[in-house]
Amino acid sequence: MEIPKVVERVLAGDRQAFAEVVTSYQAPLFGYLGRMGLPQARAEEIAQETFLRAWTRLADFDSRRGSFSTWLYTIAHRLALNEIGRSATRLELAMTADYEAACDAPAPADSLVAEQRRQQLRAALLQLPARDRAAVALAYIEDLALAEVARIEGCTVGAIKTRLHRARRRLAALLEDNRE
Amino acid sequence: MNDPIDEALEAARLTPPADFAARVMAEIASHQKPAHARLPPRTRLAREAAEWLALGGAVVAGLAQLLPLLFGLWTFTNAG
Repeated sequence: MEIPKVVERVLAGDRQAFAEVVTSYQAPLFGYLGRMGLPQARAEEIAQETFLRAWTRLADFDSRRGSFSTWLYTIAHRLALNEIGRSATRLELAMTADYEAACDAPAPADSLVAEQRRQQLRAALLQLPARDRAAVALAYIEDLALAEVARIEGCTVGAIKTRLHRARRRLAALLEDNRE
Repeated sequence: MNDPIDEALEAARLTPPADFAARVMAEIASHQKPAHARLPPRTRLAREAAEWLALGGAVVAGLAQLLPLLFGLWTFTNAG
């Protein structure tokens, strides 16, 4: 999909053209929000708000300044950090994750073990500092280069590499602890 | 996927509900046209031109303040 053309169509009044944008970006956006540690319900709210803001502020998007995906993820990233920044929410995130795990656990033993493992992995991810987790979450979006991640975070590529290295090392240690 | 870190990041992945795009579009339908659509392209160009003009004016005004000061300093240092 050629985003500049789709944007032109939206600007010309073709509202349905925006549905193509939503369809294209919803899966990677949810992937990112999940890696940020947000539970499903919060992720849905933030993803919806991201697309609504993109819709209302499409005039601010300038393809000469950067790609559409960078612009869109910048909106999502700010919303996600605001959400995570609320201290009460942080506790809620952890509790919701545990609650969802308990409710979703299927009966067969293999599935239960897999789900427990999944929860351990998510819990380890949640223990990372928000900024480091953000760097990892953004870096794992397939169509974002490190330079774009740095742009979204408002820092240098070197700083992003440092955060990624630190986050991966910490995550590895946390996973190792869980295994013991 | 053997790397435990990749595994952790994959485990954290969420998926959008099947009707997510439809929900977003329904929400959008209840909104006004996007802000940009209310401004025709010419209006946007005129606004950008006005912004550049204001910036140019500010630069000229700043130089008009700075140059006499520099001239004064130069005169003072050469007076002796």
